[in-house]
Amino acid sequence: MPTASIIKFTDSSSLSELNKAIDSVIEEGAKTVLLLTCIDNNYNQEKSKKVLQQYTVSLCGAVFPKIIYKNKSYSQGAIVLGLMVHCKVVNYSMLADSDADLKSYIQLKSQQIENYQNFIIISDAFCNQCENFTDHFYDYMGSGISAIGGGAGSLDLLPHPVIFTNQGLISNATQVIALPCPITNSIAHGWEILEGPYLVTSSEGHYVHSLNYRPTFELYKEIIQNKIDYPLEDDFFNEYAKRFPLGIMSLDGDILVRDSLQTNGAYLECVGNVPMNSMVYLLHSDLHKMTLASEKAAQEVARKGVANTLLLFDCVTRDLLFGENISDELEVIQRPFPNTRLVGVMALGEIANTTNGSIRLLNKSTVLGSF
Amino acid sequence: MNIAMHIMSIQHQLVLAIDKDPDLKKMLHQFLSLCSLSLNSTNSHIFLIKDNNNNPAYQLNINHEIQLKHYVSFPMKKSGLLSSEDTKLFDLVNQFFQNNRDEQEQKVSSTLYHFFKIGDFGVLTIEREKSLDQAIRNALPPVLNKLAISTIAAINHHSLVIEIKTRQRVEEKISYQASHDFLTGLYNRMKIQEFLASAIDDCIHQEQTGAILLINLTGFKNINDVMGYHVGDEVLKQAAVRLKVLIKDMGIVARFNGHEFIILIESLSLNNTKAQSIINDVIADIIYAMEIPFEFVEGRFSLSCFIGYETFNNASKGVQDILKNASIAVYEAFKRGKDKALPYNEVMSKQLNDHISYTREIKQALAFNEFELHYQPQYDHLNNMIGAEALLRWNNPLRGYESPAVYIPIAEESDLIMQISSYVLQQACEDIRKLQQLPLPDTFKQVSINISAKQLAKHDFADTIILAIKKNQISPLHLKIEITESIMMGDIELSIACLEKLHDFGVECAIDDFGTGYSSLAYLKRLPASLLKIDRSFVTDIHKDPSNHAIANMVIKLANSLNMEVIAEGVETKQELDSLIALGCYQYQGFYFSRPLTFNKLVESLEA
Repeated sequence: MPTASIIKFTDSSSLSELNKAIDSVIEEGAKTVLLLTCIDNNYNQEKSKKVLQQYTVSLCGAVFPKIIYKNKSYSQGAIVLGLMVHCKVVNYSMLADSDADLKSYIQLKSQQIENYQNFIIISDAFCNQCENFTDHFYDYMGSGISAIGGGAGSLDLLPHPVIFTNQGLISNATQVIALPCPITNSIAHGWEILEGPYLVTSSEGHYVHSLNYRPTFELYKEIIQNKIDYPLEDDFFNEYAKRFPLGIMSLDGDILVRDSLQTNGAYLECVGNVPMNSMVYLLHSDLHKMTLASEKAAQEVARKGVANTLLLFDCVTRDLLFGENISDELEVIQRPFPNTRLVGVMALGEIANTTNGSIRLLNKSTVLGSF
Repeated sequence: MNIAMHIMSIQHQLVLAIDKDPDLKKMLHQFLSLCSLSLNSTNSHIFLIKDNNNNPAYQLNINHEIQLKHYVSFPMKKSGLLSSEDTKLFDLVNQFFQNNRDEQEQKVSSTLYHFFKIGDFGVLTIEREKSLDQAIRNALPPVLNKLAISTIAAINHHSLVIEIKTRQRVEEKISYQASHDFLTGLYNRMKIQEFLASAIDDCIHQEQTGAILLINLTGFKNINDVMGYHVGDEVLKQAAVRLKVLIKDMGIVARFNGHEFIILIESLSLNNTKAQSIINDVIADIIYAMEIPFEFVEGRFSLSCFIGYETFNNASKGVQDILKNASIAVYEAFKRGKDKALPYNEVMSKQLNDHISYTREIKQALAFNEFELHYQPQYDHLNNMIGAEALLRWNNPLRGYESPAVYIPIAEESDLIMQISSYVLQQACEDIRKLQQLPLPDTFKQVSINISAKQLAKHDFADTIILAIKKNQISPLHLKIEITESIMMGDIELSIACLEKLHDFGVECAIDDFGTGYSSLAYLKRLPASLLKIDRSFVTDIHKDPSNHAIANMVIKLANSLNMEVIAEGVETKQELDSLIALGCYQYQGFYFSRPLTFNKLVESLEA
């Protein structure tokens, strides 16, 4: 039975505070150290490398837009999670463009953790192979595994070195932390169908070119226009996209949310793949529904057993939608666990098992794990 | 409406994977991956018929019970167990395949399986949390029909690819074998000739010089004879590697013949001095590389080599001319012995032609009975004739008597030496028979004949001698054979066995030219020889040459310790005789006593 992790939190952006916190958890007996920090800390690359390289204990984790401690989110600071178990950390940095190469690379590197069943997966959100990685990783590790995770990086959509390793911060990589103890997880989003379905008649990876044989953006704008009483401005997209994501309906009724990131006036670029010939819906939600969904997810995790460590990957767009009310959501998640401090991050895409067990890249969702 | 659209969406998503990749495994893997996405399967598998080579097949063999085998799954494992090793799944799939249904739902423990036939050669298995709606199940057969057709096409494609690859491999192998030496992996003689033809053209057009170096490993035959061909082969392989390493991309190395290698060097300067300088460097490297001992479990072997080479920079010489010239040059280097490498020059060709015509003359001499045996008497210190050595003489009708030093080495290069030896043996036996009919002095013991290396190496050598003795009805005690130390270098055990057989029959053996061959004293002791002959080079001026005196003294002492008699050859002066007597040698042969005599003169001398 794993013991509770040692948690050190600081709202300081200083590297020395991070250094102190790492020293402290190691002194208290941590076997693996998970670092969750904010992009706005702006750690100096060279200095942080020096700090990280001094440790022999395995370091892992990443830099996110925000971190979560108890019922608050912070845009500066760090959480140092001293795990009391030896975890195997694998960094997948050679994510080649060719799918066949990627598959064999992932299989080769994953051999060292093939006997593990529970994983935290953190991916540089700007690594373009993130979703292919989760597909191949799941294919190799098989059904029955449990995973939580999310995308690291910055909302400025620029690449940064964001993955913590013992060699320093690296970019364009995916990190898998294999835990020797079970992870209980639950996912929720609270998004519901507003309109649809629409058949994806042309798509390519993240790019949805046409729905029902019409340019996606044109149809998207038309649907939203029909829902409101005033004419849409030309620049409506940035405002409305975060409130009206697309959703892919599974055969069993689950909705996989796909956030629309940008458009060229014809296609929509989503955070995650939208398969050709799949059925998509226009989704909507409100803070109440999203909060209810998160509460339900937390209760489900609580029902499954004791939580020694609670780790939350909440979508950064939820934070944007909730604004100052984000504490409402975090409070309902924390509530079923009065003796365990909630820690987590606001992520750029979340990673978890869906109902059929496969590991998927999620959007606008909450992924809660306990171990 | 939504259900109908959903079904259509699923069908079209799944169909997208079909035909996407001609590689069957990739296509089916992609199909299963889409099953996970569109059918929400937890695990999915495809089982297929496989042929004897474990390749997927679609034709049923009616003579055997069909059993499907696992082909691909997505994901590959379930709770850590590879689906390809899941025996329960294997049994369930095959049970379904044996029944006549196209699809079936089956719950086993907590797992819900959906089985679907793929043509009549495969099964798609979908594992799900919940049962698949009947409408979806009804929608899948058209997709699976398409999958079956594509699977057949992919299997055919795969078979075709394998067939093409196999044919390519066979063609490559044939092409390789046609151009490479099977043992060393170097180019073979045929291929180097092609390269040489092209090199001649290149040199003409690019105004460069090329060179062919022919390398002959000396001492190699001994390794084959003594250690066996497997060791010889290893030596050749190692030699090939050494040559390749040192030549690198400077030229082309090939195995020319047996223990001969050939190197083609191009792009040398037209300036003779510069070209020669590079050739000299290469030759020095080759000689050095070949003289490094070859190490094996069986032992350490040292070889050396002779190199003949020929250069070219115009069209005056063709491929065969160049190869022939290099061959003549290496032969000349070998013959001379002192130079490890020689360039070809035209004089060599003339000498070789002379050699060939001389060989032809020897053949004619044998046919026209131009050979004679002369006998050099042997004496003891009391001046009694104790025997005679038969010496071959060629009475050439044009040139008179030829020196044996000229024609014996030439005859030894071919089988002519065997014909000559045969003549010597027969003629000596006939002469001995005549001598036996004379009242010979008691001191006269026997006539000795010289035995060549090739004779001794024959398995029937002893039998041939015995047969000649019997045929001519002479006493074996009247014939002595003389062998040199050097001819004992071949199969020593065979030689010893032959000599012992002759010894048992009564034929004695003498070691000729002793002291010049540095033979192993251990072998000397095992030889059934009764006489050591001190070579004439140690007898000349023995009275004033301390070195010769010391060697002769040593040979005499050695003979005494081995209970052998000793005879000195080439005694020409009284002083030499006195020295030999002083050292304890009491048998002699040489001009001081008598020159070689014709048989009739020998008889006269004995009767005198």
